[in-house]
Amino acid sequence: MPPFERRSGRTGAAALALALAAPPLAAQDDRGDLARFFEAIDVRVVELEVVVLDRDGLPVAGLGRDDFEVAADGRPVPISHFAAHSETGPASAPPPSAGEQAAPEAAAVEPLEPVTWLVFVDPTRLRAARRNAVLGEVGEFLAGALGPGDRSLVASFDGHGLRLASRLSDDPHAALDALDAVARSPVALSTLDEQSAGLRREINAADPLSINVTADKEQIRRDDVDGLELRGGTRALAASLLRQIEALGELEAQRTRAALEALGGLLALASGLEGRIGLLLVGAGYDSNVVDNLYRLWDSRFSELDLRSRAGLLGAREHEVAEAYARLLATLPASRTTIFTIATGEAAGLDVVDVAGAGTALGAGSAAAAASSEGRATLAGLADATGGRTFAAGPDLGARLEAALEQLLTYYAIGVALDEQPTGPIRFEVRVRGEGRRAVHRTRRAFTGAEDQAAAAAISQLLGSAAAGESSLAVEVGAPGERLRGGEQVVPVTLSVPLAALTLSPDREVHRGALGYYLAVERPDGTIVRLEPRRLDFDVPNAQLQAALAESVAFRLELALPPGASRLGVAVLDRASGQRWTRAVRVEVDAPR
Amino acid sequence: MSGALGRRLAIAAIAAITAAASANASASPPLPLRPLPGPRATTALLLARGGEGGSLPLAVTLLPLDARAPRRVLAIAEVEGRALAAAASDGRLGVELHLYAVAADGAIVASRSEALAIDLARHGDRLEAGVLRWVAQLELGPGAHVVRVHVREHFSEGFAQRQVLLAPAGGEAAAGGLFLASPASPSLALPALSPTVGVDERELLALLGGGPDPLPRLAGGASAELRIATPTDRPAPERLLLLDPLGRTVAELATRVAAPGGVAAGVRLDALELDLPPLSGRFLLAPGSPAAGAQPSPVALTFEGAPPTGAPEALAAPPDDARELRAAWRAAWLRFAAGEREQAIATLMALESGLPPRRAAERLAASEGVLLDRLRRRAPADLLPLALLYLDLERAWLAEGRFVAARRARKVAESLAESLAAAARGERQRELAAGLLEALAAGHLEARDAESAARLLGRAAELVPGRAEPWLALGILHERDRRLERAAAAFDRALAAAPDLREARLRRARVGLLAGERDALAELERLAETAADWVAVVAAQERARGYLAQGEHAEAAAYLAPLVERRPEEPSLALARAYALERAGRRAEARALAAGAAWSPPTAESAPRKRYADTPARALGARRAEVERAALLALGTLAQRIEEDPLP
Repeated sequence: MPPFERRSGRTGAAALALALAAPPLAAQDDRGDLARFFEAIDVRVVELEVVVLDRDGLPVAGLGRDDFEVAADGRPVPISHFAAHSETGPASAPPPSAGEQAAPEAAAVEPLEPVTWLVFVDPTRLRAARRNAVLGEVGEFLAGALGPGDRSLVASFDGHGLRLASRLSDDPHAALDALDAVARSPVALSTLDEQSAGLRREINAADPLSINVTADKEQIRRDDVDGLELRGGTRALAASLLRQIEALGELEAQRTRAALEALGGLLALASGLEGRIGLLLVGAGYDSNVVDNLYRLWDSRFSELDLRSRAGLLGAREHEVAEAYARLLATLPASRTTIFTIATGEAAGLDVVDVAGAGTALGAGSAAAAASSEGRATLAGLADATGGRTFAAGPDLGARLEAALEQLLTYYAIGVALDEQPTGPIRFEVRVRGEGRRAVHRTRRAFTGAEDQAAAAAISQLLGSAAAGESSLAVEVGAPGERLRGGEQVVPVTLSVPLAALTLSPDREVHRGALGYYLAVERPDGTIVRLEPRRLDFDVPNAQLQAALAESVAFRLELALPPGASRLGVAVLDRASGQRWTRAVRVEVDAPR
Repeated sequence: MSGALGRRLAIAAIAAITAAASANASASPPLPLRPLPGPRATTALLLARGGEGGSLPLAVTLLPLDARAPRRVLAIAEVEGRALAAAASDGRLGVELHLYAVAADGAIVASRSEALAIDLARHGDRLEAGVLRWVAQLELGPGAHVVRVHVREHFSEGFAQRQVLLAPAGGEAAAGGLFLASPASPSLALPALSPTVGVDERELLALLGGGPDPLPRLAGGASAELRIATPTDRPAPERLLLLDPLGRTVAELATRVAAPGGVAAGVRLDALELDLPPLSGRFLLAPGSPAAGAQPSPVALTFEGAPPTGAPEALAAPPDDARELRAAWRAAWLRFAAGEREQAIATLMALESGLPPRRAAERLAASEGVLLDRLRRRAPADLLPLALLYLDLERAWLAEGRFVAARRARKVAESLAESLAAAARGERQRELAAGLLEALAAGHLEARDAESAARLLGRAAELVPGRAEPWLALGILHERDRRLERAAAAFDRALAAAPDLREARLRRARVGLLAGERDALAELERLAETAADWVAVVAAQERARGYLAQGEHAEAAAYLAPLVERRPEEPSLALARAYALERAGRRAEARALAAGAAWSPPTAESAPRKRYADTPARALGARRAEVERAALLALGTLAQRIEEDPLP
């Protein structure tokens, strides 16, 4: 499944109506924590989520605002608000040692935010036995990690694109069943191993001194190979093997790029989720040149032949893979997901290159990513860029993953107010008081506006299995109408938000409001289509304000949907306050007779 | 309800800015404000409709700086800090501040919406001892305007709205303002300056000094000092008028310029001295003659400390004729229904104070009583705003130390609430009536009158049986009075409405334990295991107490061991285990544990038993904002009901 397909759906006659039948207000919509309250008002208030680890790598709780110093792009910035989040309370802070100042008063402990666990399995170059052992450990971890309100989802790269093995669910069994399903699936890239092994055998078997000249001549005639004075048959064989290696390399590079795009697609899908988001990435990493060993073997046999003019240089193919990785890294500063990688196989790593717009972000990709000659560097780079960490596969992985859980549960939300509206990513540095402690956090933050966040939230609604929770947003789906060419049918949809939940601006005799509508459709074939956003400006006369408070602002649109079960993800944004409401609904269209 | 809160309500229309400029050095730096695009629709409606109300004590004054249009006007709003701090969620406040200027034709010609966050860990002490002071600047045209200020706390939804009339500009019209000097500390205000306030105006505010005193209290019979802002081309007024709440002149007071003041933003600040007559009560101070420089915002004063040596003739008793008295009461109610809550309260107090003591009850019955009965019969469903008026009147009387009058006002409020409850039809009306009864019950709880609170809570719970809070509160009251069966029944009702309400589960288990119910221990264990809140701590302590009561000290210590490990931040758990260890003869372990518990940093959750012992007043007050909002919106209907009834 391709990650996204931007397509303009048919949204026909959209009309505003103040619907007379209004749903009751859900008071919860009006609530939120202080950070959200102010971030909705002004993006200059930035919240950093910081985990403090002690010498042993264990999260430290119980610290206060004065334990931290924050710098933005190298300049100290004041902490505007501070909250400590912890499952176990703030007491794991050790008492001050001799010579250390008394610890400042600890902050009150905030209630835990729900955690969403995403599992992404990239089976590229994984052997089934190893993959399944890791998945078993991950399943064991998830079964214990999901607390009240937590949810999980399992996805994989199926060799072509992103595949959701389960929907977001608070039922641990859904995730376990999905992990089982992934474990049962054939290893998608087993052909790589087979083809590599075959080519290795052929290269090893090719003895330049024992080639049959007659057969070589025939081969040379067929392949139109020049320069036959000596060992022409060898040259032909070498050229043939080289072409096979290059074809295999191209295929694998395409797959690696697709795997990176699939991971990026999952991160984009998750970007509109609320609460803490942890992504467990099971894979071997991303290698720009998985056939490098074959090249080296080929070189050892046929180095005298001048067939590989680009040996030792970074080729276009490798560059494309590195670019795809860099692009993914560049999206992470704006992501709220913390990536925990589980290095399950061997990956040679790749050289990270600069690409337009991503060069600064790559710096945040950390030294680990830059030191790509080491295996797992790409995985470590993803983890580092999001303040996560990398785990090695092993028999006690399930227990060691507890550290990831701790990290998502025990953290500090530190709000800083910037002097001016950020125009690009900002590099943050958080220092924490106390010997042996270190602060782990997303070192670079990029900022997305309320509209982008609403668009992401609409797509994230499609990750769920059903219309979730209470919302003041009502979505009414009418009976499918006109049948279009290609079998699509026009479905009327009405989106209603109670006026009482909206922020209005006074302007003499009226109050003005503005709403933005963001929709995404998951079609029956799994394709996700993002529709063009719509905007609705409306006025309410002051004299009618009281009557209107009992009503809703309704927006009607028409969607052209193919036969089958589609799902509609909706986010409505109050453009004045930045508040948004979301919902997902299922829409059925019958097949044409 | 605190006395200070009531006092501040009493003069909500006017704020006096006090203290010498020299004291400004200790004033707090302004809190950063963030612009809002506008208010929520529900708040917008209240601002557009007008009227005064809400549960937060708020004072607003206007300081026009120009005599002719366009006029720069400073709007100064002060919210009582203690009430605001009580609305905090986890030590934080999110405060929205909205201002509408409405022209005579009803058009909203200027508006401003801003918000700020207050971290009580940093500003709590200062806030609780003083006020949050918001200053915004407007530019208005020549006509008359009503300026409305609405303050809303984001998490609790507690709010207050006040409105001040600004007279038209031009001619002899006013500029400047009158400010009472008082010994209030300038450090007792958290200032929040809107970005709309210009540089010159900031200078003026600095000249005025730091902290405002929302309650100018002066000693009758003594000299007082006040400051006046007048246009630079006009002299300071030579005379000021002292008015009673009914607008009648009580005295003319000569002024002396004690010290000419500085000039900023086009006005001059002078310090005036004057001698106050030996009175006690509430008064307004207004300029003595327009020629001396009109004074748009008279200062409300409360004289105290002087014996009531006899009121001047102008302050004589209200009309003796019963019908005239009824007309006066009706006028006060209409004033309230027109949105002038504070003036209405001051008027009612003046009327009642003026009644001859021996005949007061009879006169009240013949005037207010008659009107109340008629209204109760004709429009019982429209009594909500009036009930809240009398609730505020009670606070105002309490602030004056007039406890008998306060009790009478409360009785009126409760009788109106009962009438409202009896007439309530439909879910919405029942919820509002129940909310009003809960607010009244919260007042009884503050006064430690559990019996009266229980009576009102029982009535509220009957009205809306699906709500857990009144049953929980009722159960707590019974539990505190050791009426275990009734407590258990109330907690059962709370749990029927909200099965996961952990506090109700805890209290039900504890009551059950006291009554010898065997499954209570298992429930306590479940509560101790399943969360990390204050309920879990108390549940663990109670469970351990069960072991200790049986002499099973080692078992108590063993039971608490994993909990102490899991909740090391809770010194109370460690100390409970240390106690059990000590009783079990393991003294060294006990000492070590107790010593280790001592350094645990204090947190908001560090006093679970205090939480357990708290009255449920705060939970009951949660619906007050909703009731206040509904009352504000019902003022128009109340006015209609009062007006359509011919004066008997």
